[in-house]
Amino acid sequence: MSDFYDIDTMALHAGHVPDKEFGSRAVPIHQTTSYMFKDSRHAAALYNMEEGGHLYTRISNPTVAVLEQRVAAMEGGVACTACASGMAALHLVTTMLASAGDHIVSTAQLYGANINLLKNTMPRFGVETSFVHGRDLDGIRKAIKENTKFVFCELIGNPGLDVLDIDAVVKIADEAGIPVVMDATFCTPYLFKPIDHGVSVITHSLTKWMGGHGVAIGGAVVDGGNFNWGKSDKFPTLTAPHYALDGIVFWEEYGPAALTMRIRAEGMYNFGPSLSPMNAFHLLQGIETLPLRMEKHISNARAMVEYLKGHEMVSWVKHPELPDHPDHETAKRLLPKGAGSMIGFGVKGGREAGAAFIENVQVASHLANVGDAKTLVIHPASTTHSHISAEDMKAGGLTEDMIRLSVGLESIDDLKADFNQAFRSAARAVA
Amino acid sequence: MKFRINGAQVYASTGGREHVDGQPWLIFLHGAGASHLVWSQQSRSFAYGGFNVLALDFPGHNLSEGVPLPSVEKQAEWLKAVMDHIGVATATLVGHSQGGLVSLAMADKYPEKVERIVFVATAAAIPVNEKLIETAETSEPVAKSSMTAWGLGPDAHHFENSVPGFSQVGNGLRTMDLNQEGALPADLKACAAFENGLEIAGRISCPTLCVLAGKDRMTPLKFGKKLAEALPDNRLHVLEHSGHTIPGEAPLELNQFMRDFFNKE
Ligand SMILES: Cc1ncc(COP(=O)(O)O)c(C=O)c1O
Repeated sequence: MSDFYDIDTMALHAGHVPDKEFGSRAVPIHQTTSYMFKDSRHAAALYNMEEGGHLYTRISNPTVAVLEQRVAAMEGGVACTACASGMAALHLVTTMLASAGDHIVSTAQLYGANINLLKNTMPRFGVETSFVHGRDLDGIRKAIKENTKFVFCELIGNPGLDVLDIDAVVKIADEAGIPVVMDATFCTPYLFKPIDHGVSVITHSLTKWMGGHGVAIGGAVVDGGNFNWGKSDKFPTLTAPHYALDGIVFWEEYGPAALTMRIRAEGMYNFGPSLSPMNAFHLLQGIETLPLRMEKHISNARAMVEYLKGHEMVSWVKHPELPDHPDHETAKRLLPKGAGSMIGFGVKGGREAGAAFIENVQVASHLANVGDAKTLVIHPASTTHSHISAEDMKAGGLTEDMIRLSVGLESIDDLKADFNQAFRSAARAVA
Repeated sequence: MKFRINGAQVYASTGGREHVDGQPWLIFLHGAGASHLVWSQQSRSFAYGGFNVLALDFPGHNLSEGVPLPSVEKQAEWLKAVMDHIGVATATLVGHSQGGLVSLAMADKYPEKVERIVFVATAAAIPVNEKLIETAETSEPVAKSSMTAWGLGPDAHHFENSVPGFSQVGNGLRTMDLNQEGALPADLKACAAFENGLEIAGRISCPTLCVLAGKDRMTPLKFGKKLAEALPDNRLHVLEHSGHTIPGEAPLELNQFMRDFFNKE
């Protein structure tokens, strides 16, 4: 037995103990903007961050806090801040750690909006990012400069499903004295625990597998607490006096949780990307069944990989568990429970056949999300990644004929039957 | 604030406020394997509440350099040196776990320096089990994990927290990681070797407050109660539901007990 509860138990219990007054077993929804101060001393105490508590829902909320504590627990972090979306999470981390004149190194195999934020938006504020292919470890090492603040990556790259050798990347960042920040949306703590591998900060789009039901957008920043911010003067936002709170030095006052306190005191305060209590509740309901859902996501994904490989209308199938995937060995080592429920495949007949396939599925849904309990399909070249240049598409491992499949929890027989009939429509469209 | 004692840098949190002449002094002493970070929910609260606060990192712990001190008596001597260096004539000591033992040793040797003592989740003796000391010496990470697990009560194991989004488990583990290697076994041995606490407690003349925890697996409640009974001028509060890490698990209650105690005179 381990010293702490297992993830299956944490998914149900972490972050919440029934209140003494009513004993509500489910997490109550605190649908409120603000909280009564007991007296003026209490008000001042909350403003000064003298003690814990809630002041205003833009900064924290009791229902949102349960979600934060649950995600922190499941990831093994020191703290977590939930926010409005996965993109808000990356924005928070980037702005808390980097300032004008600073630099980021990122793997190139990322979700489109992650690329856009770092490549096109942050440079307007003086923060530049160098993108390097995740398999080019030497390139990552060489791209790190004196002013580089962190290495950003996704373990399972979106949409090419490249699997990063994170242990090697952590070692490189460690040698350079900078932390690794990982978007762990595609793996969830059920499949992979980034902090156990030395990752220091995790961003999540809770919108996806964590929430699972496709009803709420949300994000989170998990603070690993394993990076020594005080070791150098690279991180003045954490080690030099803050502009408010009587010049608090977050690293001295909060140690491992310094980043979280800065996010709270500046990020949530000044940007305000807060998560609504209602969405936090929906996401919590989803997380309760994460372990069960992930098991089925994985078993269905494996069955769909086999099915697609054998289908005459399919020109290629990409999944990290297939032996011909370039990162197959890395996936085997890092993702023993399963390499995710995303599959890429090409439909014979190119763009036109792909479009016909997508338009004719009846169980699978054609939409922009991933990680829903329902099976989803999309043609990235014309949708999610249409803002990305041809060059970047190629770097991300994206082709024109690719269908991205997010395998859901339906009956595998119904899924196969649905795909069979959609493939027949595709064949007719190009006959 | 940072200063030097015996040539080594010492760190003390002032709770985010400059010290003011004439304000009473409040010195927080952390437990085995911990650091001033355990007091994050007390130091600011009292610094903004009219006290001159020092939440110390003992040598070899977190931001204080130097070698971890091998005995409770040496830790008390070091505390005396810190107080003299800063010019603190007399202070209220707040000791968690091992910090409580240091408070006893300090009050015994330098009673004039000690105005009051707050004992938090501690006892007159902490006879650390030999197996734990051995584990701390041979595989510190395993010992840190066990101590964090034993050191937290049921609510903390359910990741409930007064500070939104925080994990006591995560912070407990990582706080220990910031100490020098060897700090934990040194602390545990110092605790185990301190044997005359009960006798000292009986001689303590200043007012004392004991705040103990019902779910304490590190310094079980019955041992804390023995200390409370031995102290001549003591006030006792038991937080039935808290584990050993009262400063983090029940900060609002602890702070209120302390305020009430300070206001009674
Ligand atoms: C890997 C990854 N990261 C981040 C995001 C952004 O998340 P959100 O839509 O919650 O802002 C997504 C969403 O598509 C994603 O797939």
